[in-house]
Amino acid sequence: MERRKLVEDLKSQLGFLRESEVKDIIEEGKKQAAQIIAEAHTKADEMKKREIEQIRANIGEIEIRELEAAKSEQKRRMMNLKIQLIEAAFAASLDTLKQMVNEQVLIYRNSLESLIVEATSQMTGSQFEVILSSKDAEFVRKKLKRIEQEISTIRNISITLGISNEPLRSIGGVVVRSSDGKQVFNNTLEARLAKVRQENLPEIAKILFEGTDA
Amino acid sequence: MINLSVEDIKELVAKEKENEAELKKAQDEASHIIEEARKEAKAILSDVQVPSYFKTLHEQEIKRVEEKKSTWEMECNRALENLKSKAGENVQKTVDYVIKLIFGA
Repeated sequence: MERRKLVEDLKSQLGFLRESEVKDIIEEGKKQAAQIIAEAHTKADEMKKREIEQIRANIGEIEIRELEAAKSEQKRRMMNLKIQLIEAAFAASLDTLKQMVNEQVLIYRNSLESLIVEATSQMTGSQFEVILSSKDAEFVRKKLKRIEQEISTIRNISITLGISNEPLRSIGGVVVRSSDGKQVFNNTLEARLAKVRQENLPEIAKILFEGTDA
Repeated sequence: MINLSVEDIKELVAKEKENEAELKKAQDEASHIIEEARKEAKAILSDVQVPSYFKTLHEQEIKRVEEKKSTWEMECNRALENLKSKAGENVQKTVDYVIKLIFGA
């Protein structure tokens, strides 16, 4: 009888131990599961937070980025247009010069003398030849002696000028060359136009763009 | 000292086997619970969504900037047209000035 009781006690103890162990295993499983879910929630919250921060930062940058790009594009377009308009103004100036030469307007004819004087005044030597168009040559030839005298007075030496038979490769103006060919002064209208452009572009642009914000 | 019979021992061994089966069952159940939790965690992470308020805010900002940009571009186009028009008006004056400089008048 005692033996039976012992066996039943042992079985009961074994059952109790099993129940306890089963409970622990299940509890541990649930604990781990809860931890996995909690970690996932924490991670999800962090991801959401990061994404929101990124959206907030992005919102701030959209305006700066987009408008800066638009401003930069506008500056480029404005600059290109200005260049085109300046080119057009110089092209119109060149057309006007051609017209003045063709029509032999007084201001042009009268300038030929000063163009020759200006060129020779900046050259050394005493003998020069002037290259100009045949139409201008005809006009200048009549005044050649007077021009020689004027330059001689300025330079304080006796100057001799001749008119070259070489055709002028220009719309007008003069090219003055020393008799030895070592010095050449290009005082054609194209050369003068280029010089005017180089030296006076800011003032010219100011007149062209007067009345604008540019 | 009580001596257990062979039958007693067999009975206890059977009980022990029964326990082992119960433990195995418990372990399987725990593993299942953990596995389900992992699946749920994966679903939570794949379903991370920014509150619609922020998305709307972002879209609104894009729209606002686009509108601002469009207004700005229209103003710029007007400025370009104005520049072209004024330069057209001023071109003769500019040519006169250039000619004056060329002839040193």
